Amino acid sequence: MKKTLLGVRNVIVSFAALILVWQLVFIVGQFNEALFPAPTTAFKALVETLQDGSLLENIAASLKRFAIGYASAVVVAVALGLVLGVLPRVFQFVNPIVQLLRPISPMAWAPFIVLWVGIGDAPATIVVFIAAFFPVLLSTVSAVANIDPIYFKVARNFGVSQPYALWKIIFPAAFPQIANGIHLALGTAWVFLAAGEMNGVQSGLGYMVVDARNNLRTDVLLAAILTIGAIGLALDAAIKFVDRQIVKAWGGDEQ
Amino acid sequence: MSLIQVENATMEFRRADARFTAFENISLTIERGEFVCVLGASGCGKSTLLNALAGFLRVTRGRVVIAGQEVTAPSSKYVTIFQNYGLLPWRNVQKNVELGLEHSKTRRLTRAERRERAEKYIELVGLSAFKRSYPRQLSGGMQQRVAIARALAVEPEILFMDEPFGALDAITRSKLQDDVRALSQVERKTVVFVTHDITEAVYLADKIVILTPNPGRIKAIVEVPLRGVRDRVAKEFIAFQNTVFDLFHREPDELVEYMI
Repeated sequence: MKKTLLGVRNVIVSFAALILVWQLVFIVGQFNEALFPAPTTAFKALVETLQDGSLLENIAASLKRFAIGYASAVVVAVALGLVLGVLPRVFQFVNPIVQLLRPISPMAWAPFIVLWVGIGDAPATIVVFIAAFFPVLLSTVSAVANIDPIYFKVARNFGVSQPYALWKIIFPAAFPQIANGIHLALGTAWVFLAAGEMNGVQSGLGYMVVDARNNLRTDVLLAAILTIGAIGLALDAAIKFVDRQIVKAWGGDEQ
Repeated sequence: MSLIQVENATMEFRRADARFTAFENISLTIERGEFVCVLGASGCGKSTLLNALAGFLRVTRGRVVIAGQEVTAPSSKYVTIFQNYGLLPWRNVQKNVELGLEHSKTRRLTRAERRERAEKYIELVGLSAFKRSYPRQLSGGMQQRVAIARALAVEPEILFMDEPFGALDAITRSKLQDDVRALSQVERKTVVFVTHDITEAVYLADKIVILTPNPGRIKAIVEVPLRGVRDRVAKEFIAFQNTVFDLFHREPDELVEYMI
């Protein structure tokens, strides 16, 4: 508890310092307000978009796409990763394809995605899906490969055969490491959500950025950027908390 | 007919182009209800031999026969207890003990039957107060008791124990030795117990199989002449312990390795 409070204090201090430096640079630098908005201007834009309801609408739209894309990526990637993890000979052939697709930015697929599924919620959701899919898949496969062999022995000894072993032994045994991959994928997926919303959609935080740019509202632009950052931070904090509970429950170091 | 028959068993492993023989020409028989210790220094292939008996590995040559059938795969008729317990950390004690009951090939137990059976064996190993605890909350000795309860719960004919007390402190170890001896008699189990500890072997076994390393071969099979509850400081106990020690002593190099 004390540690959490200390953490909160550090966050407040560091943000306060950031805003202070920002304001100082603004005052000293004599920048054009339209090119480099002051924190106060950005804050005003934040309040304005909050009051007209557009910010919350965009946040809701983004979170919905994110939740669907990310959750479905996790489910599909974990399931596929478990199966490929116990079939290393099959994975040998799948792996080169995965390694080919993985370094491609999900955004590169955006034109095709729009062609195939049209505009609306789907393209951004699919971009999030792709962004989250590969890290979770690969961490699941490697998690299964790193399971203590004793669990396989125990499963065989007590007659726990497939598919039960996958669900009862292999998944839980690999789970702490899979959770790690799920955690990493969260950040990546969030980064690509905003990018994904810059095409073929009329709502969301990514759209808000593009729209503000088109209207030359740099203050709104900055407000949108800060909101993206703040939600990313909150999501990360939430999953870190979940991570700690998992480590605890699986008998790791309790702190 | 003996319960376990090992006939000219040899185990070889190929790593890259090197060939490694874990043990060779092992022949032995184990009777129903016998408590057999396989004693040897590290690297003598004793754990590999146990893995072959338990069906986790298949011998390269020769064969392993249990109850008239060649061993080709593990079975819940003979359960292995490992040095590092092999408990599932995400299950509590009760659920760990129930694991082997969830996939019974002969007859599916109902949930209530499973619970009842698990509770019986948890009580037998003296952990009734901890059945809702998770493995991480238990000491090493208690975790090994859970593993023993889990093994007994499937009512196997044979218990294979692979240096089960190797990770425990001396006091806990001697307590568990007492318990395993008592349990094996009450439950009438055949036990094959791998250890590198001469005292442990003499304390527990009806029969000791002594292996020497590189590659693992049987040096001697000795019947333990002590009966009933054994006294670790009795004259006969120490005398027999020395006899076993001397069997190792015939080859000085291996003795040195053992002492380390």
